[in-house]
Amino acid sequence: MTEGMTDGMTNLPDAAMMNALAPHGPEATQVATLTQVMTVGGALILLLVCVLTAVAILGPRSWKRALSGRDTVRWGGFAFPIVTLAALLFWSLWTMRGTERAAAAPAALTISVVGEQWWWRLDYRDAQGRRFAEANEIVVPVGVDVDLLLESADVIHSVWLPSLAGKLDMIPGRTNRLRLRADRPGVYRGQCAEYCGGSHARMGFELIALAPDDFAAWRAAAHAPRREPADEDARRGREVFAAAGCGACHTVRGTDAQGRVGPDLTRLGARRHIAAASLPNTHDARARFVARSQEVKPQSLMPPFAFLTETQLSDLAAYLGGLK
Amino acid sequence: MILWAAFFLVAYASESLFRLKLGRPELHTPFATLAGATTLGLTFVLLRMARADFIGRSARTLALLAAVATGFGLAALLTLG
Amino acid sequence: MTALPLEPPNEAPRPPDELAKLEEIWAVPRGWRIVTAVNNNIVGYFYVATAFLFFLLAGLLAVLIRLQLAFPDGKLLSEATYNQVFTMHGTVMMFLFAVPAVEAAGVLMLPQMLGARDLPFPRLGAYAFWAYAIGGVVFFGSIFFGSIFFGASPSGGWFMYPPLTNQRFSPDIGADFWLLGIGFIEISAIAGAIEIIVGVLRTRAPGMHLSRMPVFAWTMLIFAWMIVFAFPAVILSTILLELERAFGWPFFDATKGGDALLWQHLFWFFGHPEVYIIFLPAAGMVSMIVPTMVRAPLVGYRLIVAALIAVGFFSFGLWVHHMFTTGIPAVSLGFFSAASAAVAIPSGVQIFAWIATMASGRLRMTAASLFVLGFLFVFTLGGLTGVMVAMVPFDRQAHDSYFIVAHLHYVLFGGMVFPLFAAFYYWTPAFSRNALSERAGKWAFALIFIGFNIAFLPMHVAGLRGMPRRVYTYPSGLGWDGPNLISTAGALILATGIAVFVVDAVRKIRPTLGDSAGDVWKAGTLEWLPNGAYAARSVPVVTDREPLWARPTLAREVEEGRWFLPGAPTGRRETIVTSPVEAHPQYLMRLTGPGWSHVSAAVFTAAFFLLLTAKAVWLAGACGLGALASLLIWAWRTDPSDAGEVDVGGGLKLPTYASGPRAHSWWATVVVLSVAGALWFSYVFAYLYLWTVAPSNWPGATAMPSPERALLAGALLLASGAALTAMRVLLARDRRVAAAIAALSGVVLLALALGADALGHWESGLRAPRSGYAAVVYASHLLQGQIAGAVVVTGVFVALRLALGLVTARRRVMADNLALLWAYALGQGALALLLTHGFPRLIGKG
Repeated sequence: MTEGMTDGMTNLPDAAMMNALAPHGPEATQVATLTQVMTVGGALILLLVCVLTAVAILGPRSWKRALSGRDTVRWGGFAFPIVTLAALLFWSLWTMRGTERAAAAPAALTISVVGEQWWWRLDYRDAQGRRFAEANEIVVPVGVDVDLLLESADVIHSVWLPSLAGKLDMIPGRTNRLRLRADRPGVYRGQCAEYCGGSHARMGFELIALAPDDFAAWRAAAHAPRREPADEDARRGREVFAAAGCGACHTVRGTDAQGRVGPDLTRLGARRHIAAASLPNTHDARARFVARSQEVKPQSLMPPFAFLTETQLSDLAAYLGGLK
Repeated sequence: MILWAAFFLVAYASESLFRLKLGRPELHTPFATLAGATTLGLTFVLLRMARADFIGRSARTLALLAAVATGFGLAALLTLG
Repeated sequence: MTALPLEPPNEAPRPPDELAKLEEIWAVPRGWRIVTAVNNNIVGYFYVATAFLFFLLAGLLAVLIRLQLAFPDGKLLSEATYNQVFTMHGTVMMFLFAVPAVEAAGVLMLPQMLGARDLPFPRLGAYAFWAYAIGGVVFFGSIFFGSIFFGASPSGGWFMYPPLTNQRFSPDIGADFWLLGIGFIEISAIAGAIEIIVGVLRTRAPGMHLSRMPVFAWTMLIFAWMIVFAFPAVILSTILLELERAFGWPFFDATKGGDALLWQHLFWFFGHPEVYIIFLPAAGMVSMIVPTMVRAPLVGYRLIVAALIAVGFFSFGLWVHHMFTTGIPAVSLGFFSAASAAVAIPSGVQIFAWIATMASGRLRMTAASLFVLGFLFVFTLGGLTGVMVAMVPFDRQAHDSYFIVAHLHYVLFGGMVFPLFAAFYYWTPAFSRNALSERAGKWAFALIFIGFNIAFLPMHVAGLRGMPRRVYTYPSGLGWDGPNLISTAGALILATGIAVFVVDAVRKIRPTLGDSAGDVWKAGTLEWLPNGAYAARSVPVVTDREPLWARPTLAREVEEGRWFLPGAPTGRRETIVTSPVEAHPQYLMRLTGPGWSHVSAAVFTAAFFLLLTAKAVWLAGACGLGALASLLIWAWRTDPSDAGEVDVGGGLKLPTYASGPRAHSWWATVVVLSVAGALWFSYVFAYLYLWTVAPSNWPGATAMPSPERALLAGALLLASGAALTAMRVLLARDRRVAAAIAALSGVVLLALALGADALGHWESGLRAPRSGYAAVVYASHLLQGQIAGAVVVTGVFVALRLALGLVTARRRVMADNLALLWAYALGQGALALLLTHGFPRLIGKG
């Protein structure tokens, strides 16, 4: 099942998951090459300016004389920039053209991603065309083109996965389409890249690229019937969940909890992080978040459930951890 | 410079016009390209007409820069239009 | 036109009381009455000091930011406080420091540099300063008092994108503070721009042809015109957002036919030119400092001037490069990417011109030179990263990340702050009894340069590793820890360098009028002439770009009063008005001296905006009336009557009154109308843009209200136009009372025209809060109301003066300005009718 699926993924070094210069997708790869060329070129130009300045100030008289005419301005200020900028611009435009053409071909998978303050609402369709909701952790098959349909429920957000592609904004009233492909299985981290108030700094996410069979299994399990909680404390946790009214805001498919204000919790237990990649998905972190959510995500809509006792919080955390 | 600004405005504004009012978005690129070529042509004519004093020579430099910018803009239109 | 003398035309020694009289006329009020002073040097000192104070205050906010971000999961500031701190850091730096600082430099130095005695509208410049200072101090106070007591500082980032900043997501008063606070900054900037344009174009020393004008004057001229065309876009956007917040007019609300991107277009149409507005005068300063420091004239003057003008133009075509990730179609992005690449060329031209200039002489390694070299390095690096982000594919990674934070600081700090420090070290001797300490300056430079690079270079790395902007903290383990810690260390070194400068400045700078340290660098331009409260003792004829180098005896001759205007022939403050290109003397302008009306106008203007923010509407209204009354009193004392021809020295006789297009206030009115036109143009953009966003909201021919009211409005406009013509004809025949009646009836007709149109929309059931279309139609009425209001007030004012005989067929400057304003209002009104009634019918069914 979904258990253990992501265990091996933590081998990927953290920095590689989120680095525009460590690309693992076609768009990011093209941009990384462009970046490297521009960086080297820029450094050389800066060096040239420094050298010319040094010569102008300290150089031998004949060199200074050569630099002191209007030709320096014409060659350095007009001819050289025009040529280099034209070349660079054309390369850049050609890259854009390629990206546009590639994105025109249909994607193998389309996922709706709606930005909320300060989490990500996901909407998939399974093989039978049935929809199911997820939150904060985008799971995709490796090596295929995926479209993320980006919208916003409130303010402007932006989806950015530096290792895979450029970013694209979520603007209320519009749907933007972000084309991605993960070329290696693994975990890629992303971040909201448009200031959205309050807890913008705590609005990260992860994209998990699975082998095709694993992805198919993951998707098929979306509508699997709910298992009974394994332990006594998880069963007690289920009671706490119901009694505290969590279902008013959260959905757990196959139960009475059908709220849509907050993230879907149906498969919370299988995720690597909670609270939009702010906390690791451990028992203690779950308990802490429920009790003191405002410390982790200030100004979010999740009220702190401080009135729950230690035991209740622990049971609730066990229940949530078992939702897979 | 004024010509460049006019070309810019024409290219920018005509996009909506073609798409929404006339329903022929595919015409925008050829139209804007024509506008750009016209701008370049007029710029070169003006270049040759400029006087040799301070203002005339400054205008020639400006015209050169405007031509470069128009050229860059045309490159964008032709590559991506 | 008689040729200008090449030798001093006046005999020395001058009559004994001439200098004493000059000093008395130009004397600065003493004690606390100095707040009424209007001398450009006095206002300039206050202005520079205030701008620098805001730099320090916003810099302290930056230190707080860096302390919070030094370690992951920082706990120094809460997210609410941090969000206010970074918003205020950016807002104060951009609006209360950067633009005012260069404007202050212009106010302080331009008249002396151009050979004028003062700016052409001294009270306007003082008003601009006081409105800015009072408003700025209160606005900045909001962060301390606001966040401590009320959480009232804005927290939407310095560019305040809706919907985050609308009433629903930012219900507190902070956003209103920002929106209305920006209002008086805008007024201040525009007032300054008017001064500078008219001053640079019309009050230069005789013979100072445009090709001989100092490069700093060129950059200030371009800077001012850029303000004229760019600021109205942000004026409009702040008005619209405030209307949405206060009254629910849905300009930016996608659910009702508005669009969040409308704000971004309007803001960045201002915002991009804004950064060149900040950079260009600093580049102009460098173009003044380098030639002096190498003792050789600037190489490529003409190329530099052309490049500056090109930057000014191009900068208006780049704004979408701030929106590359919004989902706009690729062809548009490519177009703006192309323009953004093109602007790098004229920016680079200047760098090579400075290198060539340095090669043509021997650079003295003074503190000022070091800051210039620092500027060259830092700004070039920033410009290169700018070319990088101009390329769309790269920007899609870099946008809104710390790479951009690095880029913007390299170009802004490098491009403006380094030259500003260079300017302090360079020009202080011209205005202060002591120069600054060279030794302290070199230490300050080293700390600032090293600290700056350590602080900002690592941010490029953090950005590419995924660190977005405006995050109050970050988790460990993403590779952001190291760069952030290094950045904080660098920031502290930078702060130390600035502290060294501040200590030096406090110890050494003693602003003075008359016994400054003098021309310690042996520079070539006129601001280095010995000066007093009256600027230079006499006004020389200029035949060269570096007059003091071309004529070594010039300083002595000017001081002895042997050139033009050694005294005050009309007994008032005066300066010579010259033709715009060749600087032929045309007439002698009389300038106003100290007074209270502009100060009270500034206080009431600032109070008006701030009370509106606090929603104390009646009190705000009262202050608005107070501002208006002050303005009217101020205006009443302008336009002195003709004093005949006077001798300004050497037999040159000049008239003392000019009317028609030659008058300096006519030019000022044209500048104001350019602002109004730019505002209107931004509005037309907003109207058409919202149509492209939600065309279904537009009514189409069949759903429009019936055209009667619009036709009535058109007829009233025509009638008003007839009254305008009548007024001008009657005035030419000196039929003053009849002209007054024509003026009064004409402006009333204009107001009625506006009312008829607005009534028509109201009667059709159109209500602004319902849709973006409705909101933008009523926004048109609001803009019409603003201009009509100005015309009505001016019309009544001029009618009164006509009746009192203070405006006549000869003394007609005020009537001319009214006619300009009125004609503009008629034109704008007619276009508004065509747009709001014609366009929906033209596009067919909605």
